Amino acid sequence: MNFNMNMRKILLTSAIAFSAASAFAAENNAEVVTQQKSLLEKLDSLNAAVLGLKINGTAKAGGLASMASSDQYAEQSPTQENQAFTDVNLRLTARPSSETMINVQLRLHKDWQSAFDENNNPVIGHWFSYDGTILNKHVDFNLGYMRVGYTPLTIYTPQTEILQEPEIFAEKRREALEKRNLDTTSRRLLQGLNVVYNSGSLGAVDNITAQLTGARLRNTAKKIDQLFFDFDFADRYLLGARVGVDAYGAHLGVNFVNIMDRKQTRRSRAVGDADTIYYDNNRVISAEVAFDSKKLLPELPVTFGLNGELAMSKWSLDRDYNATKTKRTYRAEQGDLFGEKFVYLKPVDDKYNEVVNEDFRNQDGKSFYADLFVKGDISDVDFKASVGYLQTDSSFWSELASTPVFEGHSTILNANAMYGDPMSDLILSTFGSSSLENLYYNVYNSTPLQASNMMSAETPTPNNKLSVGRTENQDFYYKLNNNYKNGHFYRNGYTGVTAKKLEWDKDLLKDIDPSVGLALPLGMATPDRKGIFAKVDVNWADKVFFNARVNIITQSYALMGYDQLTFAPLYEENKFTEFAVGAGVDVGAIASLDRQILLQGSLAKGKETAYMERNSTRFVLGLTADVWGPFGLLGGLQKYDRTFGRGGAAFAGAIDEGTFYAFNLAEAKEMLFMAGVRIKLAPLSYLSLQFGRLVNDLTYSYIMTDAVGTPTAAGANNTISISKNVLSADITVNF
Amino acid sequence: MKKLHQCMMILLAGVLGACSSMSVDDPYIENYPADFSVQEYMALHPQLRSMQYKEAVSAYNDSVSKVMGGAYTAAKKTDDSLFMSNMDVLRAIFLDPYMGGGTQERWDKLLENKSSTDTSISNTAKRNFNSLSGFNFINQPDDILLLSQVPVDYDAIARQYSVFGRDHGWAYRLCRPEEGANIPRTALAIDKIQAVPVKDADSFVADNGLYCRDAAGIDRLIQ
Repeated sequence: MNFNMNMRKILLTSAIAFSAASAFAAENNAEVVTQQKSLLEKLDSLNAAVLGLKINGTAKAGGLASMASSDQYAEQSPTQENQAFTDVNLRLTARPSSETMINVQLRLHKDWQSAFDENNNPVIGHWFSYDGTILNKHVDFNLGYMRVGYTPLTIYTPQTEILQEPEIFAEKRREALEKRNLDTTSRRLLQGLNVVYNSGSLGAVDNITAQLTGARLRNTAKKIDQLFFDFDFADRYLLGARVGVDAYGAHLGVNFVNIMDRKQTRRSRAVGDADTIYYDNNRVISAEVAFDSKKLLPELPVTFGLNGELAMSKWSLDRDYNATKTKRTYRAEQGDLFGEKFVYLKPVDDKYNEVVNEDFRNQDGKSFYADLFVKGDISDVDFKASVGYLQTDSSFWSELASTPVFEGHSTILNANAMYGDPMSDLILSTFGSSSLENLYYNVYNSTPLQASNMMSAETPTPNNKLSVGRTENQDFYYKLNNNYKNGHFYRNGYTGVTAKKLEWDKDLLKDIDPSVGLALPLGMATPDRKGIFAKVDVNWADKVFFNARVNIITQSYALMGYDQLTFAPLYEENKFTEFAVGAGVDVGAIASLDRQILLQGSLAKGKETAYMERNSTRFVLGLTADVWGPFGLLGGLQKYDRTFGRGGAAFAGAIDEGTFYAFNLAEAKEMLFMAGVRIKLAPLSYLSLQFGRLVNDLTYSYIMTDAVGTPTAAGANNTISISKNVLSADITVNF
Repeated sequence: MKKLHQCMMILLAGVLGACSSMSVDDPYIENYPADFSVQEYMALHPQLRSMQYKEAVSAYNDSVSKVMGGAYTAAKKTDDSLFMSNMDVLRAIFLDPYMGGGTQERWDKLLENKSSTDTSISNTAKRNFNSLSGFNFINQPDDILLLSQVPVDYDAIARQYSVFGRDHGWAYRLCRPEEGANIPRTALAIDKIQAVPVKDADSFVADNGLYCRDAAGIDRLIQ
């Protein structure tokens, strides 16, 4: 794709000529030779045209074998998982004019393991948009899929930051994100319409901008698709608007975001007596201020400035449920009291169900941050340092600025493994597999659907949700082969779906993995935080790099436990301390070699004084080197240890009837080592051979109780130890 | 010009009038005399309250019957005979002004008439006496306690005046001293007219008068 960017200018003129020629040729009912010539010309124009149609993308073919071993595996458990696939991503861009562009991205995925079962594969479209810059470049618009970002308190995506992440890791992470249609920017993936107006320079004012965004959001947040299609008809909408003005290096802006559930949306059935439907409405309005001295004081070697934002949020929750009401009417009856006859009114009570909508919860909150920075470029040393303060109420909520894209807690590789004891099974199905495995590996399968993986309506299987109570022949779906019925199954730790406040409040699993940030798991919009954050980034002529991060943050209402008598939650103050340092040296550049030999390393530590008393240490080492000619060597080592001083959160689950299990995690130690060679076969074509070793050691205590809660067994310092060796080989061609 | 001004004033008055009439909260209010009090009306006609006790008992017994099914008839028979043999309870119910509404003399007379040799008297007395079983909560030992807990449905009593009592000339309050000499209802033509049963609703003649009851229990027309 870089190739195309670079070549764009050169090919621009020829492309116009090609498309004109092909249009002319197509008009004529010419001879075969002419037709073939025009076809060739068309193909060329497809490749390079700025006007007209352009196709580029990546094609990757390869295999992956993951061999796992663990003392906790059952004897008959499979220990190997193989993937063999060809995956072609096509990006079609059609430009009817230089102003607008249609962008369609398609994925063709062939799993060779299932190729015999289903010999044809459907194409999956994963990006459809119409974008442009119109009206003399004053208006930009996106229709369809888009990535939109406002400010860190309104529309934003908190990203995982790993300092000096070696390329072998970064590439894997980018790949996993891409499978979910995500990228590493802080913009949100949305579907709808986005229009931005930029006035350009108007006298003293440098720019006036106005933006309007409307999008449909998915109602139900699911970490991972449980079903291959979504039959939730409920609608959620986003309405966003912002205005801003730039002058003298300063920026003032106002942003507004409203995310709402449409009430009484198209329901697939009437509200049942057991149903309660919640409608969420989240509004955030923020004012932002920014200043950069570069405009006013361009002669200084350094520039300084600030970014600040003040936001107010409103979060309200309504709910619908069926209430039984009584309607009293009266009927005239003849009364008889010891022979005296008269008319009296007899009450007749009728009971009826009525859907009641009630205001369930309302919460208002404020948040602000101010960040001062200094940056400059003095004798080849490019640096930026910033320090800021943030304060957010516990009642603040901004959904679209909060949910991170990384959630983890899945099992990516060797998902077919079986565990010999129910405790290991429970831990792996709730706490999940290692965080590093989730960060860097993903599995995508296109699998023919049949009875074992399709959610059919056969009642005995608990997964059958399509039509509960209506039985179909259980053999029915065995006939589904060769019917273009392919399901798409992801094993991926990332998600583009945002979680509503209620969902977030409920989900302890998200809290437990500090990979996304121990102190600020929801970015700047994390509720109930105050403290300082500082950053330093230094780059000396792309030869030596240095980064440092410090966060000292306090949470006022960290959950401590529950009152023994009233079960009311008890809170205490929680102090987070996080720091990270990273350094990189390009030995090749320093020694003035014509190749890159980049050594990288970083250390990050985080801890909290309350709640679960989590403590995390991440250690990263990496090497990216061009060894000789087309050969490149990539390596990376990452160790990630977490301890839970208060035993982590307790997870409970019922595995066997009448027996309940709960576990407390004490420690999770992880290691990922990856090494590989990358061979450049041809321009933009690479062969990559990689070896990876994942080690995941968990220490936990557990308790088992019977149905009435009497403990039947307990254990402390139990361990689960899993190691996986992953071999992969693939050829990637970018075009 | 003067005419126009007048017209405008009339229009304004009309608008204000229309608005003020909309401030009536209770659409039934127009069906009642201005000094109507439901408590007073109930005190004058305790049989309306008495029927509420009976309805409560019958609703309870119906719900028991639904649970018990076929065993109910026998259970009712047993419990009724137990209830009907407890003369203290029966007397208390009979003497309660809002249940039986009777007096000690009438209670004594009722018991006496039960064993009268004149079958027409004894049959009526027996029927009236047996109707007390309508106050028996099936399989409940303390019927008096439960009866005391039956809530008063004032709405049913007030509406009874509006749909029946008023048209039939029921007194709705006690007479004031100056009304002591008002014409008694028995002296009015409407009393004779209404004493004759009618065959259909169209032949019914409603009583347009309002009545009070004096200390002697005579209903008198309110002038």
